[in-house]
Amino acid sequence: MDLQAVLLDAMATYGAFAIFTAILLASIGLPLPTSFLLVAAGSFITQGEIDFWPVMIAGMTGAVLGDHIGYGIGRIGGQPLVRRISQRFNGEALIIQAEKTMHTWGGIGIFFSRWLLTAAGPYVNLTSGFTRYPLLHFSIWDILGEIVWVTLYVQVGRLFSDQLATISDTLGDLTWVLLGVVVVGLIGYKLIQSLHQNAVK
Amino acid sequence: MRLTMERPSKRRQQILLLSCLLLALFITLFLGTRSFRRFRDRPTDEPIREWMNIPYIAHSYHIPPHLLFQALNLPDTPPPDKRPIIKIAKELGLSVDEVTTLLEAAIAQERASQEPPGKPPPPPTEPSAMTPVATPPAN
Repeated sequence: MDLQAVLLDAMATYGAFAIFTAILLASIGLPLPTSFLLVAAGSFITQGEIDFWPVMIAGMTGAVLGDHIGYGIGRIGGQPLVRRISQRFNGEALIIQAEKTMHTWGGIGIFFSRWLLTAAGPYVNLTSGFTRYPLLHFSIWDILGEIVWVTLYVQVGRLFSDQLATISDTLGDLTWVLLGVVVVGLIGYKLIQSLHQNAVK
Repeated sequence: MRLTMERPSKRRQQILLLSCLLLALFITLFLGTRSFRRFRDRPTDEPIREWMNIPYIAHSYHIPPHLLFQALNLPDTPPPDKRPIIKIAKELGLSVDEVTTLLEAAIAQERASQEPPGKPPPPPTEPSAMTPVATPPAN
C-alpha cells in the first residue's frame, strides 16, 4: 500500500488525530505526503465525512509542534555536532556565514518554507536551531506560515473536492515551478549584485 | 597586472551567471507551461487510483455510493466503508485493476440509465382506432 493510501485510510479511521500525527512527523523530517493529506481533508470536509475546525486545529498544532521539535533538535543537538565537525575540517568561517545569513534572511526563509517550498521546511527548522535563530522570531514566522499552509491546502481541497488526483499532481508540478522561480531569483540577485559592483568600481 | 587578471575573471563569472539564469528561466517556463496545460486539459473523470475509497469515487463521479458497494458485493450499511480500494481488493482476493473494472462498469451503467431517452415518438396526426376515447361523466 502506498503512503497516500495509508494516510487516507488513517484519516478515514482516526480523523483529525491522524492528521495531527502525520503532520507532526513530517515537520520533524519524515517524508510523508502531508500537502496531499490536507487537500484530501478538504475534500472529506466537503463530503461531510470530517469537520472543518478539527482538521484546521490538528493541522496547525501538528505542524507548529513538529517544527519546534525540529528547531530544538537543531539547537540542542545540532550545534555541538556541527562545531566539532567544523573544527576538525576548518569550517568555522562557513558556520559563521550560515549564522549571518540565517539572521538576515531567516524570517522570510522560515515563512516561505512553511507553505510555498514545504520540502525545505524540516531543514530550515534544523538550521534555525543550530544557528541559534531567536526562538520568538522563529515561532512567529512559523505560526504565520503554517496558518497559510493549512488554510490554503484545505481550501484547495474543498474547492476541487472531486478532483483529488488531478490537484495532487498539479501541486507536485507547481513545487518544481516554484523551485525554479527561487533559483531564477537567486541567480538574478547574484548577477545584479555583480553588475552593480562593476558599476561602482 | 592584477587588474587585467581580475577583469576577465569577473566577466567570465557574469557570463556564467547569465547563462545559468537563462537556463533556469527556460526550465522554469517549460515546467510552468507544462503544468498549466496539464491542469487545463485535465480529464473530466479522474482515473480510479488505489488510494481512493468508495465514498470518494462516488463523489468524484457524481453517482450514489450504494451502487459502487453493490458492484463489489459489499454491504452498504452505516458507517460507510472508507477503506482504500487496494485494501478492499485484497480482502476480495482481486487485483486493484479488477476492482477498478467492476467500479467503472457500474459507473458506466448508472450513467447510461441517467441519460435522457432518445427522440420522443412523433405525435399522431389523426386519432387512431386504438386510442381510448374520453367518455363524458355519466350524470
